[in-house]
Amino acid sequence: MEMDNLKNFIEENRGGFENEQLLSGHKERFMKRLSATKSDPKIVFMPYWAKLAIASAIVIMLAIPVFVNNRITKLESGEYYAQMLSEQSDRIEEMATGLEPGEKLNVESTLRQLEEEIVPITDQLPESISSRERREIIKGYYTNKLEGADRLEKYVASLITK
Amino acid sequence: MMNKVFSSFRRTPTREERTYDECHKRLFYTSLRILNNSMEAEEVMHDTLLKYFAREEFGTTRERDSWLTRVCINLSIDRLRKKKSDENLLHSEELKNTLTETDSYEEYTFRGVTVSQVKDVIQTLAEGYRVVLSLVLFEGYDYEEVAQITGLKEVSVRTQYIRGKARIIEELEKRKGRS
Repeated sequence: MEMDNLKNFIEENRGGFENEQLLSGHKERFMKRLSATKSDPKIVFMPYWAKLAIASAIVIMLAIPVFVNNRITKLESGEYYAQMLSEQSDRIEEMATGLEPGEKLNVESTLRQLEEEIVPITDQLPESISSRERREIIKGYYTNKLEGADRLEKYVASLITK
Repeated sequence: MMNKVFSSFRRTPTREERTYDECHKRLFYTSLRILNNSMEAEEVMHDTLLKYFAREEFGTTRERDSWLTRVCINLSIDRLRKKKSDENLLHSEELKNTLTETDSYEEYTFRGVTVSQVKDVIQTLAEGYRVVLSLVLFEGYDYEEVAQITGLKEVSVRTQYIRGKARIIEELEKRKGRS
C-alpha cells in the first residue's frame, strides 16, 4: 500500500479514536450471560462411530457377568470338562477308524471307560463344600481323564503312522 | 490498613474475567467502528467472547487476539447485513463507482485537523465505506484480506477505500470552509 497520510494520522492519534465510554454494567451483563451459558445443558453431537463404540462397550460390559457366570456354572457342574473330553473322544474315535479291528475295539473300550460315569462326580460331592472346593475337585477329576485321553490320542496317532 | 486487610480477601479473577478485562475494549471499538452503535457493539463484543470461551483455549495471546478480532468483525458485518440487504450494504451502486487516482487526495496533509473531526466524518460515511476503511485503517488488514472478510473483489475494496478516504477529506475541507 502506498504512503497513506490518513493511516499515519490515525496511527499517531489512535488513543483519541478509542475513547468512548462503554455503557456502565457491561461486565456484569457479560458475566450474567456467561453463567447462563454455562448452566445451559450442552447438547453434544456425537459422530456415528462414537455412538457405536459406546453401545458396543455397554453390550460387552453387560455380557461379561453373564459370560463369567455361565463359565463358573459350567465349571462347577463339570460340563466344561465333559465337553472337552467328549470332543477329544470324538477325535480319537475318528482317528481309530483306520486301525485294525482288534486295536480299534481296544481304543473304543478305553474311550468308554474315560467317558462313562455311572454316578457323575458332581453328584458324589457333598453339598457342604464351597464352590471353590467343588471346582478344584472337579478340575482334578477331569484333568486325569483328559491326560488319559491325551495319551490315548498319541498312542492312536503312533499306530496310524506305523 | 482496612483496605489492605480487605484486599487480601479479594478473590482471584477467573480465566474468563481476565480475558474479558484484557480484550473487551479492543473488541468493543472494532465492532463500534463497523456498527456505529454502542449497544450493538457491546452485544457483539459479548457474543465474540462467549464464542471464544465455548472453544478450547488458543496457544498464544497473539493467536487468541487474531481469532477474537476476526470473529468480532464477522459478527459485526453479519449484524449490518441483517439490518440492510447486502445490496445496500457493500455492493451499492454508489460504492461501485469507478474512481480515478486523482480523486484520492494522496497529497492531503491532515495539518490543523483534529481527531474528533476525523472521527465525526468517519461516522457519517456510508456503511460500506466505513467497514472497508475501518478494516484497513484500524485493524491493519490489506485489500486482499478485506476482500476475503467482506466477500468483495479486491479491486472493489481498493476503490471503496480510496473513495471513502476522498469522502473524508472532502467533508473535512467543507467543514474547514464553514468555520
